[in-house]
Amino acid sequence: MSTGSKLAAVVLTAVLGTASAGAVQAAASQPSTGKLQWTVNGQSSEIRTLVLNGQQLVSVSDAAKALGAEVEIMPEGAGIRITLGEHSVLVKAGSKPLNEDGTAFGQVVQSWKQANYVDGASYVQALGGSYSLLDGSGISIQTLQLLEGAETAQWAGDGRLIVSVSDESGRTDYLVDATTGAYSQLLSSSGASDLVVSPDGGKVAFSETDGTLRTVDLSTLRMAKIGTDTSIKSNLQWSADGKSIYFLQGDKTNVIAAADVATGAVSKVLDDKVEYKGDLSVTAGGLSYSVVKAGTVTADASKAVDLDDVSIDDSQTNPQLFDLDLSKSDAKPVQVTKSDDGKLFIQRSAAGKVYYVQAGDEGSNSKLASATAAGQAVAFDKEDVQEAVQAGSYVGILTDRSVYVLNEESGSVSKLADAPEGASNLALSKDGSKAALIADGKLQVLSGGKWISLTK
Amino acid sequence: MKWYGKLTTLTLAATLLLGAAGGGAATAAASKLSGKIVVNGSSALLPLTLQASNEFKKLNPKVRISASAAGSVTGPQAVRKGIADIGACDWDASTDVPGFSKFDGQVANKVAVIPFAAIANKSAGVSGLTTKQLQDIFSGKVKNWKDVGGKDADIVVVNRAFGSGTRVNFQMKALQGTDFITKGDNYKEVKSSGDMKTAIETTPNSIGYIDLVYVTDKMTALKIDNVAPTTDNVINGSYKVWSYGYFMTKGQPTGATKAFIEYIQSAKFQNGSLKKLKFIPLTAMK
Repeated sequence: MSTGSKLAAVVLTAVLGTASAGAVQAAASQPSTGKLQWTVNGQSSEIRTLVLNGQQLVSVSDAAKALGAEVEIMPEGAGIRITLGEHSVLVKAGSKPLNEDGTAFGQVVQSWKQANYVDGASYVQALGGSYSLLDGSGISIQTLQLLEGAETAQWAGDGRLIVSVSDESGRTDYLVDATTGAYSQLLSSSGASDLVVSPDGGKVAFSETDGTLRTVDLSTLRMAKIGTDTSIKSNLQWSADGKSIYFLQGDKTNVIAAADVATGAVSKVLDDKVEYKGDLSVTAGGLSYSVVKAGTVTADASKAVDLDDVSIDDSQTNPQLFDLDLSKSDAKPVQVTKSDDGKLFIQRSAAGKVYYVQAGDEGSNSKLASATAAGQAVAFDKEDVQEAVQAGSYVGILTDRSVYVLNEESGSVSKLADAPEGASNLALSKDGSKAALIADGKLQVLSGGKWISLTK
Repeated sequence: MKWYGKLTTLTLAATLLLGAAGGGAATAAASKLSGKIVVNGSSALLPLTLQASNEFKKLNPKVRISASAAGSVTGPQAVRKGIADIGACDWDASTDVPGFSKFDGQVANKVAVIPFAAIANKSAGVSGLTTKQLQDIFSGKVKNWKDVGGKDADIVVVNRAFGSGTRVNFQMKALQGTDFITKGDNYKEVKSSGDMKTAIETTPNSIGYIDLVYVTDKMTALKIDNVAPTTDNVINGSYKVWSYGYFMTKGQPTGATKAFIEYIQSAKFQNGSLKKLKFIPLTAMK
């Protein structure tokens, strides 16, 4: 645009005041128009843009509509007031916008072909929203207050996630809407176990530091105490029918027990004196667990301490996995692994396979493996596997760069998306279609092939 | 036994909850940290070590950790010998304690607070003893329960074997340094907390001592000088029979060993898994 040229006067929907002489701005180049995608609270809209002097501005009216803001034309040509919640902005062509305190911000408002254009980022932020790029294509905007911080996430029923945040005093669990990020507090505790979601997604179970077992109905938020047993409990797991809560009992976790949710009665499922069971996983028809053996120490206490007469054999201290058929009352556990390797993220599928991440040594990839009584097999070794999570008949796989989903029924593995840098805590919905994880301290949900932050 | 814990549930409101939640450190992605850590020593600390190991390895999958226990003294011994990276010990082995000289050059890293209890078979008929009475029983001066308010029956003293950190701490804190009886028809020694638990539960008229997590309703946890062995009483200072649990290392810890110790000392582990295993967090002690 040549020096001295003018932009058209501002007109917005109804009749407005005339643009003042100061509303036009000399520009060094011809402006160009275009469109930009905004995703506001999970909903996408197309916003008209104006590129002027290398800067992209957005249509005030398109943006207001996308944000769900109120638009008011001020009298006597004072401009247009856009209000969203507690925040408002006054826009007038040729001047910088003003926030509700009367402070100018951002770039001078430009008018072009009967529309006002502003700098999108400062406009959204002045209205109380957060503004971020979506991998360079489109803009993600949140106008709802977002939960701050996220450490772990898991899918509950009806499209919500349970997100946990810890601090010095304990842990707080929240229910977060997976589309908008709207959240509400579910539980605040000090020392309670992680929440375990029931198979139907409608309840969570946890144990307190004194061993008391409780459930919370996620619809009514009613908490129930399950029985009176206060033995040490860990590795809580719902039965497939949601009627029992299994757990490892005792500080040496040598007993597998189950509490009846209706009566609170606790019964022993397996008491074979084998200590240090872990990674309990219960599905229809069976359960699996790991056993870690302590190293064998030989020490002669009669000898002088200075002689350091002690030796350690730690050759068998990697965990081994066991499976128990719950459909037979007299079933004995069956050892399904014998390999001397680290095994992590151990979970049993409904089909009876025990999936786990086979930890690699320094410089070599970790793999996803599976085990049954028939033997062990590698299920995925394309990239360095960091986590695996069982969900229905799917296994979510988080590698150092990607998220994959293994369909147990078909055996196929498909890539869901690239993983954000530093991702952890992959959560997969039971139908394998929804994924969430934690990256950069934020809960991120996969939406339209992109990771959207639902916390700040 | 009362454990502390705060539990509140807020009703779901129709509107959004504003304001920041207390933000703790985000859970880290799997690290590239690698190496092997060998932990040996205290049987009291073994459940804690294994639980921490299980959690730590999910964050650091290329680190291998093995844990073993044969009594506290074998912890710093194994470190000194160079066959363990961490010696789990119920006393600060960089200092002299009754029966054991200090292990030079080792650094004591606190990891937990361990409460201990004097325990008796239910048949003994007593609910508490004074320090003097405990000293007299464990030294062999008093041989019958009737002399301390119980029934007329010979006392069976069950002791831990030499090298046990539980034994060192009970002698220092409950017996004020008084020597143990070492032999006799009514004297037994056991090698671990688990063996002590079994002995007291099944041996009529027996007395012993154990870390608090092993106390069951099949034995009596005795008051000492009229103070009950509870975590609350450890924290408020009225019950004295406790010690810090230590991870002894050769010099300052580095690499994977340092990361593992820091994980156990983290607020998340201390306030979560550690408390569930009936230990007391380090921060609870003033």
